[in-house]
Order: sequence, then structure tokens, then C-alpha cells
Amino acid sequence: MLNPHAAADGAPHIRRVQRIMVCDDDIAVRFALKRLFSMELGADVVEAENGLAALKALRSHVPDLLVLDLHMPFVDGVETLSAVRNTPSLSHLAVIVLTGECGADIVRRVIDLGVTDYLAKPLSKTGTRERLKRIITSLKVDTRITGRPQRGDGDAPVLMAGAKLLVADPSEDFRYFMRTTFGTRFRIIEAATGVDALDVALQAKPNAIMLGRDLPHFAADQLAQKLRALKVRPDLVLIAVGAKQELEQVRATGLYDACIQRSFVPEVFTREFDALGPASVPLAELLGKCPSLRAQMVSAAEQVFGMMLKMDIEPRDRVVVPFTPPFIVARISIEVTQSLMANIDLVADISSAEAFAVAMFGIPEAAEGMAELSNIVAGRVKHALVSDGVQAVLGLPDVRVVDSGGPDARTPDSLGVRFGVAGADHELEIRLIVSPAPAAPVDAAGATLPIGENL
Amino acid sequence: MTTNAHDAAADDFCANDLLAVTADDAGMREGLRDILVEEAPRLLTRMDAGLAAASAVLVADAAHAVKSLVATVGGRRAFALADALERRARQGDTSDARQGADALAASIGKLTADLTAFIERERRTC
Repeated sequence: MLNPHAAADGAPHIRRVQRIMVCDDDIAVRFALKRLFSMELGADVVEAENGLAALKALRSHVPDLLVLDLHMPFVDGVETLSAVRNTPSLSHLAVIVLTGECGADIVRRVIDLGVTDYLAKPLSKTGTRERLKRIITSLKVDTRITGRPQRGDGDAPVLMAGAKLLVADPSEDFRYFMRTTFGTRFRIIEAATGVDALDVALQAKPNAIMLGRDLPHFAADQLAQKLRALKVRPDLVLIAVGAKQELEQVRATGLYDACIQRSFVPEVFTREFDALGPASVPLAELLGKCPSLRAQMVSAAEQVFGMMLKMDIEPRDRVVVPFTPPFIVARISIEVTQSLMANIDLVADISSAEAFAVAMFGIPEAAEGMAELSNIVAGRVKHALVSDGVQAVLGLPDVRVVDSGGPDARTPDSLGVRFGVAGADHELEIRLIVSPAPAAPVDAAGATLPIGENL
Repeated sequence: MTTNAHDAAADDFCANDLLAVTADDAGMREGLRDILVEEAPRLLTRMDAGLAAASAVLVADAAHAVKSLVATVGGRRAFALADALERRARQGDTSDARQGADALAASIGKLTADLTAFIERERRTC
């Protein structure tokens, strides 16, 4: 539940957990959790003895948190979670799953559907209490996208590949030039007049608008003022395009994020355009745009490890920047944009990596196990990117998992979290690295390798 | 918890397991004991019905429910016995299920008695 008072004064949105539904076919578990939630949180607890009863109750009673057992008669936990996620009014409900015994396929399905956290069975009061604290804390974090960071003078605007770019220019030739030069990089929308540009901008909400100087109906500066006043989007980038002699005057208006000299030579214009901003977003900026990404990454890994191992997994080390891992077990590459990759490394001591895989998957083929784990974590992070609206902010066409594989080069620009299994020596770290997409790897003989071949 | 010879020979009642679930909450312990007293016979009757109908699915489901219940109150041996019953029934094997169900009922009886005695001792100490 968002706290409107906190929102009004700019303080973080606080989510209070006052109503909890506990869905488990075991009356003893329901009793224990109800008592714990009531006494520790002062929460109102509603019980449901299976998924069907929970779904019926959810029609009239939407709690702040649903605690859901997976193995139940009639409608099991996975079916219930699926129904919850497919119901618009419930799709964002925080759900904690209770896990006893479940296979990798169920874990994958549950994580894919989206869960906030898990509690391992049999319950331990201390463990549950500690976990509850963390869950409640994580629910207190407002995971909405933050606005565009304030840029200082001289900072160039960032326009990511795949962004929606409105080209407002009376010249059909220039619009054609933009279409052919940048059509594969951005989603180009066109307008020939000021009125059309305003209309399209209000409807399509582009990431950036390139304004030619001689627009009919609304002059470019007038349109720029209007677009700023109407707050088409908080992170809108306005780019003026004009003749060289006009640009100084245009800059002086202070209405634009950037000014580019008009040119019909693709190499020249592309160079000018690229000089506006970096082709990739630094890690810090990506995390700034998606404040919950790291938390999602951490929670994804915790859920996967914990559910597979059927025990509580605790982060041991929070942030490691820069971080030199002892060994990268697997690297998951996610294509964020055409020019930007987000890599998630699973890091472990070489001795414990195999033990982890064996423990998690019960198979000696560690590499196979880690690849499976990689896909699950990648899926969760992808889900976080999409659900948190990073796509919308960055104007991304899609975020897709490119590959997952074995050890690769190290990079200092990363955030990491170290996990440990209680009572065991095994440790695993995950870290997020954001880097420009590499060119296709080339082997010693000069032949191009498929991406991932070198991983 | 896993099923092995050690678990099968485990104590009917493990106070540490119960304390892990309930910690400092004596009221929770009493509540769980009451639930065990009420629920266990119902679940054992379900298992009997499954055995009478020669339904491995019913036996497995009943064993699963028993497992969950006794795990919460420190019933290590009952957990191991129910787990073994469930695993075999899930594979369609109910050949020794009658014997297993009887052993399970006996272990739950002992668990109930030990748990009650533990609670009484605790009450007297306080």
C-alpha cells in the first residue's frame, strides 16, 4: 500500500503490510504463521486452505501480502500464482511462496511468474522472523522508475538505441534521410508541421524530438516551449537541427538539450549525433533508472538458490565495487539495446562452484546445472527490466537473453552480492556489469565466431 | 529432512525441532499440540480410506499431509515414516503401506504424548 503522505513531501513511498493472506492446506502451518504475523507485525491474517479458497477470497479481499504454499490439493500454488498474475487487479500482489520439496521445473515456473520471496519448510521461527524483516523492508522500497537524472551544463543527452525519435521537419528529403540513416537504430516517427508534431508527441510520447527550424504552424522554439510546458514526458530530449550560422542563437534560447548542424551526409550527421551522448549507459545510470534492478537481481538469485537448496540463503557481502572475482562460473548476457549489454556473472570459488551445481540440481554435470541456473536468473532480471518500465524509459524495443555460458573476462565496473549457504562452505556471488555490446568475436584465424562461443 | 535409516530410527519427538518453529512462544506450542490432537486422527483415517480403496494417490496425499503436520511439531520419526510412505505410493507401490501406516499411527501417538508431557513440564517450570 502506498503512503500518500510520504509521496506528497517527496519522501519515499512506504508500503505497509497490514493484511496478509496465508494459503496452505496444513492447518498447523497456517496457525503458526498467523500467530507470527499477528504478533510480530500486528497484521490482520486471513487463512485459505487451498488455492481455490484463496482465489475466491481474493475477489473481495486483496491483502498486502500473500503467503502461498506450493503443494496443495484442488488448485496448487503454481496455478494460484498464475491466476493471480493474470488478474489485472492482483498482478502486482506481493507473494511469498512456501517451499518444501519441489523440482527445478516448478522453481523455474514460479520464478517466471514472479514471487517476492520464499520461506523454506519446515518453518523456523527465527529464520522466518529474519526473513520477514527483509521481505517487509524490500516491500517498503518504491520500485517505480525514477525520473530522468538532472544533467549539468555540458552533459550530453542520452538517447539509447531503440528509442522513439520524432523527426519534425518540413523537408521530406530530411525526413527520408533520417529514416534511412537512423531507421535501424531508432524508431522514427515523422511530422511535417508544428501542429502534427505536437499531436504526435502527445500521443506517441517519444523519447526525443528533433525539431527543424522552419516548421509551419508552430515555429520550432514555440513548439519546444509548449512541449516543455506540457511535460510530454519528464525525460524528453529536444534536439534542434539547423544551419551552422543559426545554432548559436538557438543554443541561447536554452530550450534544447542539444543542437546539431544539419547535413545530408550520413557519416557527418551520424558523427555529430553520436557526439551528443554516450552510446552506452554506465551501470550507475542504468541502476538509477531502475532502482529496483539490483534488488531484483539479488532476490532472483536468492530465490533460485534457496528454493533449489530448500534452505535459507543469506547475502553475506552487499556491494563490491570494483570487484575481482575468484572465478566466474557463468556469464549471462542480456541485450539491453543494440549497443548495450548487461552481463550477470555468477561467481564462485572453483571448488564450491561444482558443489553448488551438484547440490542444486543433484547432477554431477556442473556446467549443465549452472547453465540452467543462469537462464532462471536471466529470466528474472529480464522480467525486472520489463516490469519496472526500464524499456519505456530507455525506449527499448526488447530485452532478450542473448546467451549464458562459462567463464569470461573480468571487469571492474560491477556490483556484486555474495551469497552463502548457512552451515556450508559454499559461496556464490552474482554481479551486474553493464558494458557496450562487443563486436562479434573473431578467432585467431580471423573467422567470426557466434556470440557465446568464447564464453 | 530426508528419509534414511537414521531418520527412521529418530526420536518420535524432537524438542529442538519444535523450538525452532515456536521459539519463545509457549502459546504457539500449545496451539500446535491441540491441532495435532485434532488433525492427526482425521489424516490417518484418510490414509486408511486410501488403503481400503487401494489408491496409491490417496495414500500419497494423506502421507504428504501428515508429513507437513508432524514436521511443525518436531515429529521426526513420524516425518520419516510418512515420507517413506509417500515416496513409495507416488511410485504406485502400496505393498507395505498398511504396515507403514500402522507404524506411523504409533509414532504419532508417541509424539502426541511426548509433546503434551513437554508442554506440561514447561508449564510447571514457569
